[in-house]
Amino acid sequence: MSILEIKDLVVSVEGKVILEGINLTVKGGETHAIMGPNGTGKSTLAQVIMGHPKYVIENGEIRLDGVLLNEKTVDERSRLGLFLGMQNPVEVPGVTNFDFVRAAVQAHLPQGQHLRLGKFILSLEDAAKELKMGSGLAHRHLNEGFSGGEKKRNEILQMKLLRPKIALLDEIDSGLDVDALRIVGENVTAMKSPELGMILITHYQRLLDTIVPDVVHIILQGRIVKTGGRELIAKIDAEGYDWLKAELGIETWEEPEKTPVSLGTCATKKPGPLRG
Amino acid sequence: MNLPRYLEGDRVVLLRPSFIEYEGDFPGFRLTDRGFSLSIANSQKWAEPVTLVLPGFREANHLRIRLASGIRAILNVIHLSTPDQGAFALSLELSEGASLTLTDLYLGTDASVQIVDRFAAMDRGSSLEIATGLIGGSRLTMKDEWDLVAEESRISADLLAIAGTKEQWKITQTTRHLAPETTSSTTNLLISAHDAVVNLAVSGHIGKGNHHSDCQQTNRGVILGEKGVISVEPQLLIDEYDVKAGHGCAIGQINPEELYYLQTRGLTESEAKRLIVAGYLSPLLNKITQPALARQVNRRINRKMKGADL
Repeated sequence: MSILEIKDLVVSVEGKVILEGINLTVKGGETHAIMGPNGTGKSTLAQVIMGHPKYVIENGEIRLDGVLLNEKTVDERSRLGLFLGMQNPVEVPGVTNFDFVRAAVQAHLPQGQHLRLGKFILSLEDAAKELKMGSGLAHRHLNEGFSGGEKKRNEILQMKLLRPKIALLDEIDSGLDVDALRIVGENVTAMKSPELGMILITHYQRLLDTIVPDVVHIILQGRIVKTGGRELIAKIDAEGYDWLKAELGIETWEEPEKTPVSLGTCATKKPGPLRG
Repeated sequence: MNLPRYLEGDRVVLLRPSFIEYEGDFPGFRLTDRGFSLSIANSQKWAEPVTLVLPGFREANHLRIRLASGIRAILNVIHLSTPDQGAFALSLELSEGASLTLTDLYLGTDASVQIVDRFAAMDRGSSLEIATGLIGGSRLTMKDEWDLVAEESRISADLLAIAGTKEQWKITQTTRHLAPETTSSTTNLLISAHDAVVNLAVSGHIGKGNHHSDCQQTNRGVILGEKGVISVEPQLLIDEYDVKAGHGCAIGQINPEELYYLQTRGLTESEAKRLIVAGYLSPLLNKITQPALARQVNRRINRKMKGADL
């Protein structure tokens, strides 16, 4: 049984502290839900656990089965058994889903061991079938032109094939219609076992109706401010987070200011006389 | 000149100065003052890929290919390496309803100089699918002009260009929609390894009256060295209302978010970079149906990218 331990975690980005002393322990077999308003640090926590280079750990530690992850690279963390199902999986043009998943599964094999292609293809087909994904999935370019639901199902497909010890699922319910949510929920629930610990990040009860958590945490202003059972989900769904303000003595909290960034333009303008 | 081993066993025509060599029956070749002419009037011999090999020379530098009405043909044109390779011109003329699938591979040595002019004239209902691999040539200037002369003609032009150390390339592409209901799709994938400089100007023109035409451009470039440069100038010049047109352009170093995503699945940084770059290569490599030739192209690509930041 694996164990993910986060102790006194303080994280900054561009000099600004965004996680302020997170403590969390997730064991194999447990499912934890993390809820909270926008911009309070839920996704950041998942990215920091996975090792996104944008974030700086100022204090504290993250351990998986006793191994300190703080200085481990992203790929090392993955091979140690972490998995992050992304909120917005990036598109990688030209790289087929098949080649990508095959490379990922190969990367998780012990050094010197080669993937058995036939077995891999069968596993991929089975996983795709269980997720009710189209037969052409393998040869489509990674996430390119995928609908929101297809992207999320593709994340779960990878999770099924990589068999992580700890899975972080970041808003895996966003962009899913009712049927897709049910399919994702059933597949994730079917993966529950003493060998898999899960952290579900979500805004909505509907995901937690299909993947039932054992523990619920609420993050506000970069801190876990409340931990409880499933009763918290219903309360949040009914009342939002206002009741916590009163309980914690918080007057208001503001979403972090986001500075718009130009992504550039491909347009060119040449000086010249106007015609017409 | 002996035929390269990787082409042995294929249906190959070797085009040498003043001499055309082939086994089997491939009618329609003719020597001209400027080079070679091929007129295809019968689909039977050309439905399976035929590879035309040009050793690369100064004396005879023109290849003209004509397809008669309704003819379908699949051709590879391979430009082998010589240090003194000069100018080359390719003219394609497709008659009504003709269809040509052409893979045009430039495998010249790193020391060669290449000036390449390509031209296509497309008659009514004809279709050209051209995949180009620019994998050689330290100084390369390429100019493409694709003319959709008559209604319902269409062209799909895919280019993979890999420029290596100290190479400077200039590529100009012009697609002219000269008749209504014509379709063009241009995809350019550019790789600048080391300190290579690649300049691409790509333009699509839809003239007045050529309604229901569709002109699409996609340009992607990846710079693998600190001193590499890729510049792309996409243009659409549209003089008609009822048309579709679009262009996209994305150039830069490897996207760190793509890298991160692949690394979250256990790939090392190097493996992730290689997979992303493979995404640029696979559209061309997948079009080469002869395994030995595909392996040779792959080897050539690897040699070209050796030492790149991967």
